[in-house]
Amino acid sequence: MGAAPYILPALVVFAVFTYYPLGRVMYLSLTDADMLQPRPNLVGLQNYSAMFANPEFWRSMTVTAIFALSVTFLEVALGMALAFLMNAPTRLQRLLRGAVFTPVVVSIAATAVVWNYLLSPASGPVNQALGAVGLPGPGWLSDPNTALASVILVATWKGVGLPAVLFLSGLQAIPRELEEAAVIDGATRAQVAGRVTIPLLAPTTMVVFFISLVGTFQSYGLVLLLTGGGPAGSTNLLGYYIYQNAFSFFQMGFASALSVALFLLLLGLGLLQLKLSERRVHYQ
Amino acid sequence: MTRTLLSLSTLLLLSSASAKTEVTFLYGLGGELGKAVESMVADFNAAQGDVTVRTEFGNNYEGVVQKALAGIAAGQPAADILHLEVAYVPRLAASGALVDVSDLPGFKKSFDAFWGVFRAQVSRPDKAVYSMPWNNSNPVMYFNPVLLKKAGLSAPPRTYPELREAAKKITAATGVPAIALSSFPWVLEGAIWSNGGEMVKGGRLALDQPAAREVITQWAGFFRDGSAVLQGPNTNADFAAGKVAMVMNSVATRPSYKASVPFKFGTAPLPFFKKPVVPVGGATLAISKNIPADRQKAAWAFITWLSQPEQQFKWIKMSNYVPITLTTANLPAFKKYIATDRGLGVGIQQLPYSRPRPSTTGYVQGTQEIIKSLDKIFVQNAPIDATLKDLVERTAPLFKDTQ
Repeated sequence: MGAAPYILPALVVFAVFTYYPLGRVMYLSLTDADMLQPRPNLVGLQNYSAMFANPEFWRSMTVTAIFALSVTFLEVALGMALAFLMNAPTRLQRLLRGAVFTPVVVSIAATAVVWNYLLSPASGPVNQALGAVGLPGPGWLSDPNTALASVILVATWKGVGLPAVLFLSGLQAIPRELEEAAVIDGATRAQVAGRVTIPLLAPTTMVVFFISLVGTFQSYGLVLLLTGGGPAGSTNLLGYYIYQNAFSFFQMGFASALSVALFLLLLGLGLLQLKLSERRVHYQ
Repeated sequence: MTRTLLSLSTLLLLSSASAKTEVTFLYGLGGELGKAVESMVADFNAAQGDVTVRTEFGNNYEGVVQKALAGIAAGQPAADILHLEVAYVPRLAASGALVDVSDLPGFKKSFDAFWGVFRAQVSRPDKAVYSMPWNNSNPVMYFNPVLLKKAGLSAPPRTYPELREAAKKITAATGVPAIALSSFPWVLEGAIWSNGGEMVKGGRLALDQPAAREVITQWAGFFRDGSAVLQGPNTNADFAAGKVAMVMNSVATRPSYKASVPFKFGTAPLPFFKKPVVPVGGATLAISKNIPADRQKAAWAFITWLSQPEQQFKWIKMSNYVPITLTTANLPAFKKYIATDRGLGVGIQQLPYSRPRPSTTGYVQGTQEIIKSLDKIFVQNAPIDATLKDLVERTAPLFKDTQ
């Protein structure tokens, strides 16, 4: 019998909820399915050729890449900085840890409502404050020049708590004697951080980087609620574009092809992570 | 013997109780309007003993469609009664998922009572009818009388050329944008029709044609001279805060304005170019096809009950949607009600010159492309002619089967 009975339940769950949907999406991507016809017709690679020929797909990919890389970079940098602050033995340590992690557990809908209000061009507190010091406030979410940056900032605010906590746990796993040895050797606090602590955080950094990157590539909820992909398509992330094609335009075959493209992209990123983890990340 | 009689009577009672047909109603209105829906359903359930309607909230119109699609894909309807925004009905009907209600008993009498525009809105070219009007609206112009007065205006503008001049004056006098204009082409449809143009014509979008181009050019002018802002999720809050003077929105927005706007706002008819024309909007009620006949019958009973003048009047008082039947509009109580506030009657005043929105199967997707192009023109100063030409070419496949 061996281990089979023990892994069977997990295998069944994976098969039903992961592998079957994956196979089904791959099949649908080769059809003209629209959820309204029971037996879709096979159309070969037509959806893929339509996808590559569609300027909106490329635009969406570009927007998604900018969004994902920006949010990931900000989450890694801010998450690490916040972790250093949260690790420092101050009176505000607990308060800071709570404040940093709270946005992670706030629902996307509540986040969107609050930020829509804060960033309102005319009556929002952000522009009111800018106006009070004589600065003109832009239409944060309604101007194509600022909408993507605004969504990036909101997504970072919402997501940075998790990397911060992961970095905090990474920091706490670093043996104190290594940093103490550097201090005894005359290193300043900045040198200790730059030459000892941050390099030792490399495994955590790698994990945070890829978790963040994969998560942001799949984002669509914030965009759906903050901007609806607009204005002028400036925040049309691939995840939202897939949702729109599947459920608003009823083009399930085309949406499936887009999903397969996203899956392959994420698979590529996952393989890259494995490669980099093997070569570049040094454990103690 | 007594025990047997008791058992028999209990069985009889149980069987009569189970004779009540239960149907599910998947609806898409939230907030105050959602409470109004629940109130109407509770009234129906209390008013008779044959049918029980059980409600399910679909979050919004898109949510209802998504659940309906999932039900169709699974071969099990998501609900017996579907609350469908009119633009989605043609596609769902074409798939065979909806009942053609024109075959149901009493249809003609019920249908003939609707205003012509609502009959036209739900009628397919082959005379089939897949959904019945219920919550219908049209857009009106809400304005801040104080900001208009500051600009020396005693009344809201009636035509678009008047609006253009008024907007410049308001912005100059108050420092706030005069009007919020939307890239979602609902109000735009009315403006283009009022200028003699069409949204869709001859198997293509007609936004590059002179009448439509003229409207879009004038709307772009509002943005370019700084008197307009793009309508968005915060526009209602901005209007309430006195940060925008005029907003064109559904008559059904009125209850939420009443609750959130701290000043006495005005309601005016939609501006026009050559002649007044307004689009209607809202949602209709459809019956899922693959359900047993008794549930279809029960669903139909609920839908026809909702369109009765008394129910309509109660619904309008809670929601401010427009009456869907002439009988409702002629109720003495209704006339007395709308006379209590000048703004209440604007929606119904516009009904004689209202038109249904385009209902071709490609229009939902086409709308998203229109929004993108108008955004570019309004807020990115994109060249109007080239952007509209590109829009028409880009959307050609969506309208190729449209007349």
